[in-house]
Formats: sequence, structure tokens, C-alpha cells
Amino acid sequence: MKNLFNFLKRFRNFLLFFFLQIFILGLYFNSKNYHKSAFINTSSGVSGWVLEKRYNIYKHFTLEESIDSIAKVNAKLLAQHPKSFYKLQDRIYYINDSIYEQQYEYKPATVINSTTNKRNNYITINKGSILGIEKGMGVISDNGVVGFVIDVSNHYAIIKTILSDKVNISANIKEQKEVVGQIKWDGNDSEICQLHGVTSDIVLNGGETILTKGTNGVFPEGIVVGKIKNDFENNGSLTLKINVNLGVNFSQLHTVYLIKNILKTEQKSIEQNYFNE
Amino acid sequence: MSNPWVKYSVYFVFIILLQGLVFNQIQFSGLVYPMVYSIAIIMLPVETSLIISIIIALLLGIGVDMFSDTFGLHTSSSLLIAYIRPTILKYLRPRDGYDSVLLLSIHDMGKKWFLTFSAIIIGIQNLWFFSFELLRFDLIFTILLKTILSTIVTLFIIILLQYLLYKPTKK
Repeated sequence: MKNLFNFLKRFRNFLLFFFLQIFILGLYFNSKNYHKSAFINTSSGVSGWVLEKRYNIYKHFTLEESIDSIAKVNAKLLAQHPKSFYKLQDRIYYINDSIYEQQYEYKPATVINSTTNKRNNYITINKGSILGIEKGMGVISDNGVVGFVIDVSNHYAIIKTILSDKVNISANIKEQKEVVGQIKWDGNDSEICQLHGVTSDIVLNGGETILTKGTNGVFPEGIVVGKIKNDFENNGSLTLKINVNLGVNFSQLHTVYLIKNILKTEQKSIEQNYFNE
Repeated sequence: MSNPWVKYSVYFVFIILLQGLVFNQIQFSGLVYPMVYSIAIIMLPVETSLIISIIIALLLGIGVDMFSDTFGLHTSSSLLIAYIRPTILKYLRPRDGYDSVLLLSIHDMGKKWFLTFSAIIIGIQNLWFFSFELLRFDLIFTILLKTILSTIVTLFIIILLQYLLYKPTKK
């Protein structure tokens, strides 16, 4: 017994270091798992507050760009308004009430912190569970797909961007709807993603637009991901290696929109009997 | 401000805010990520006991992690450098020992000693950080490149801070 105490006394520094290290690395590796939330991150109260204070100063330097992007979206939406169409036939009236049911709701939020230079890149936004943000919501900006929410506190939320390990988003090509692939990121360039799973018999020219497929209910169908670069190579393998120029510039994100899928629980409840066995 | 621990606590919060609000925003080319907060561990007094420096490293790491969404990676690397610091101090010991009046700054210890010491500490910290961040054997050259470039930039900033914040201690 005395030997044991002597041993513990002699190695207490190492043991303290060892167990703390194991504990912290355990937290780190658990955080890679999408379903487990971690407790040390920017959605916690103090650092969220400080980051928001920094954003309140910093936002004045980028006002022009954010006004530009909002004006662009306004112009796009104005063009779709019934007022801007010329009526070709005057006698036909459509009543849309019972044909359409709303499936997606959008909530705007402001980015207060972001990274682009790590293997897994996250964004902090200034809205949290009080304003109805939930885990798993999809996030887009006016230029395309951004990511999805992984952690929420009362006033802040953390978004895992598509610039991360182990993020798969199913997508298809606008010009050839039947071509389906997976969007992944190899960690090298924050402006370029990869499209996997396109077989080599497909003929591509470069410049085609990649859209989300909208199968798992996180993103609606037809949100822009980016444009195909024309440097793909066919080196005899079964699938093509395709680089995609992302539509979103992650280092200059201001306003993002969070997508709430109203019908998601319904989709999940009918799927769970057959998909998860 | 006469109590050195009060002074150190203010300095501690300042260095976390500096890392979280300024140096985390430096993102050129994705290869350089200066982790300047390690200066708080490098400059701890020589006679600080290992347990106290481990606890300081733990708090420092959690503080930085809260600002940078790394989920404990900064804590892990700062724990490591706090644990190996006494060993490196022992190897780099000047001929007549450390003078407890002096700070471990570039003015008091000399350029060559300070550069060697902080280069070893920052190099180890960066290597640990990037290895665990990427964690892939086929990316080993990326890890080494990131480590070397970030170490050089961090050293440069730390030496600038030395000249901005410290004066030589009068004996």
C-alpha cells in the first residue's frame, strides 16, 4: 500500500497530464460525430457575446457588400412577382390555395464568426433556440449551399459548413437531371469541392451547374452548389474526378438563411420503419 | 497591480482575446495559422510547479477553444507544451542556472536562447495540433508544411510582441 502511494506521489504530474489529455482528446473525437454536441465551442454564452461585440464593430467595414447582395436578391424576387409579368390571356384565373402547401420556411441570420482554413470549418450565427433554430436545419446563402446546424444555444448556433470532413450532400447536374453524385471536400482549397460518383460514360463540357437533389429533407430541391470546372480527368477508373467551383465565398459570408422543413418529421416517421433496420 | 498573479490574470484574459479576436482571423492560403497564445505558457516563471502550469494551460486552452470551434484541440496541445516545458528548460539551462529575478523574455535571456526555446515549444505544439486536426497518414507532407510555416509566422509575431510589451528587467 505504501509503495502504491509512493508511486502515485512520484507520478502524480504525469497521471494528471495523462488523464486530462485523454479526457480532452475524447471530447475532440466525439465532436467529429455529428449527433454528439460538444461543450467547448463558440455557441457558449461568454464567447458568443464577445464575438457578437466584435461583429458589431466589424460589420461597418462590409456594409457595401451586404447591401449589394440583398439588392441582388430583391431584384431577382421582384422579377418573379406577378406584377412583372405581362398577361397574355386575360380571362384565365388560377386559384393556388389548395394545390400548394408550404414545405420550407426560411429564417435570415447574420454570421458573426467563421473559419475557412481548417479541416472542419464552422460558422457561428447570432440566432439560437429562442428564435426557433433547431439542430439539423439546412443553411444556404443567396449564392448557394452553406451547411447545416450542429449545435444550438439560447442565442447562438453553430453551423458545420460543406468545407468539412464526412459531409455528403447528394446533388445532380442541372443540364442532365439524371446524373446524380455526392458533394465532398478534400480539405485543400476553400473554393473548390469534389463531385463523387459520376460514372465515366457521362459526357461533360465544364460549366454545368450543380444543384441539390433534396432527398433527405435538409435542403429543398434545386439549390445551387456551384459550377463544374473543366479540368476533370478520366484515368480509366469507373468514376470521374470532378472539381466544382463553389458558388458561396465562405470568407465573405454576411447573411445566411436557415431552412425549416415543415414536413421533415412526417418524412422521417414514415421512413424509419424501412430505412433503419 | 503589485501582486504578480493579478497582473498575470489580466495578461491571461488579454492573450485569449488577442488570439480569439485577432489571430484567429488570419487565414491566408490555409497553411498558416498563428497560435500566439502559447506565449503565456512560454513565459511562465521558471520555478512554477508543473501542476500549476498544467492548470493554467487547461484554462488557457479552453478559453481559446471557446473562440475557435476546435472542440478541445487547443487545450490538448497547450497541455502538452505545459507538461514538456520543464524538461526543455532543464536541457537549455544556462551555465550558472536561472536567475529568479529575470523574466523568460528576449531581453533578459538573450536572442539565441529565447529563439531556441520558443521554436522548440511552438514547433511541438503546432505538430501536435495539425497532426490531430488532419489525422491522415497520406497527408503527412501537408501536416509538416503547415507546421513549419505556422511555426515561422508564430515565432515572428511572438518576437514582435516581446519588443512591444516588455522592457529589460533592471537588476
